[in-house]
Amino acid sequence: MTRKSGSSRYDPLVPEASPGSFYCANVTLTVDSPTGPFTVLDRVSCEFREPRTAVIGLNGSGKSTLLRLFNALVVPQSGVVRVNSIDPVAFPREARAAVGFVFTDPASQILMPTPIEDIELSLRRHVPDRQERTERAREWLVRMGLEHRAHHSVFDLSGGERQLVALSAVLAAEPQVLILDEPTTLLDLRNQLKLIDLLDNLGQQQLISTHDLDLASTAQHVAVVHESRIIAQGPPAEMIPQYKNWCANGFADWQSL
Amino acid sequence: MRRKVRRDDLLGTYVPGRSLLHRCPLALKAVLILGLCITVMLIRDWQFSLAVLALTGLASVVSGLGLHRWAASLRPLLFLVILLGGYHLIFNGPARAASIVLSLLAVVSLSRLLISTTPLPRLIDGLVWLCTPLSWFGVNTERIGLAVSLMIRSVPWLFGCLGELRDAATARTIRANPVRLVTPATIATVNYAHQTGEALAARGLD
Repeated sequence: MTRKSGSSRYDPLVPEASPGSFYCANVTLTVDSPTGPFTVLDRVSCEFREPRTAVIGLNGSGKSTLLRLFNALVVPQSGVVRVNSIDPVAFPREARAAVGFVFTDPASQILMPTPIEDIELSLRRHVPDRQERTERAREWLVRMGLEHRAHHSVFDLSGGERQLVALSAVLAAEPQVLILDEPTTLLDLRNQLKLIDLLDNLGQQQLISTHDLDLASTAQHVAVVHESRIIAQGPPAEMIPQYKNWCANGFADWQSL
Repeated sequence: MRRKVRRDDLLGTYVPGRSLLHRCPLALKAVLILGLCITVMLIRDWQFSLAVLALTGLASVVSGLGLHRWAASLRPLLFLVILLGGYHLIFNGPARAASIVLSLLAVVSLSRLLISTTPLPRLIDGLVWLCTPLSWFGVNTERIGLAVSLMIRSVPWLFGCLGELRDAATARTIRANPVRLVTPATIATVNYAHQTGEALAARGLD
């Protein structure tokens, strides 16, 4: 997904969101494609207040783009976006400071050659003293059980270790809320369980896109995205069986909802 | 701590340790190493270059890096050494060939010594400090440091990418000649640059 430049139109009638919520109203995002303009998000509105919200849907449905709205990695053509009352379009730096974003593939998120250096990079803005930076980075690695890997090349780490390093680098910057884009996709079952356990013990509100219905079932709220729109949302006990039914029998009836 | 030497570890990464070289202040270490590099290049004497090269080997052993790592760090230069050595041997004689080859090996080995005994964030701090005068002209020196560290991080990625493409071609019984790999490697590199840009933006470092 390329970041779309252009003017943003805001609806002044849409009220400000309360802190602690992921909020968007009438958001439309269209990108150019070889076959003409393609709508990635189509008049999407949502407000997620629960400690953990899972966004589920088929590949290409618009889940990741919805998540990327909240830290201005994509900019909509129209609509209102707020994260912790911050407008990510007008204040991308502030939004990114508030939002910790974990990508599907940690290899593309880790920017430094070794885990400790990558976590230190996250701390550069907040912690001017380099010794303190190193100490804090080391503390994060200890917390993740990765202190023995501190100076190893990130290319030598397993997928699970890389995901934990990526998460540590994000958490080290002390974000107010957390967005995770398919965080368990590349992990084996043991590392999936470890990651979920770790997420359970975090204080931040979490917005997670996932194909992992076990992870989705740990959320308090589930939103189903299909063909660029949120077609249903509610508690996981209702949404997950409904989504399974749609996947098995087709999404033909969703418009009648 | 023993670490496996990676074939794609061209520029080297920090190896933790408590040796004198590890504990030496960055400014002093950098001045010493840079001074030796410049001296090697100015003197251009094969015996002096050989002595410096031997000294780096000794320093590697004393610092706990090991002779194997020292030798492995020079291995990627083998092709260049043969090319340069052969050319100068034919056209300028053995003394000149030895001088060129040994000074190249000595300088690379010296710089590896600096990288292997100094954590990258310390090197970036040093670079940012060196670039301070540029900030008077509005240059963001932190960005220079970040750009250099990203470049260092990207080298092993590129080697890994080429290896994966070669394996993919071999698995499909296609002969993986360099010309065939150019297009997929370019596409993968552009995608990597895009992902890196997103990661930088997401971490508020753009």
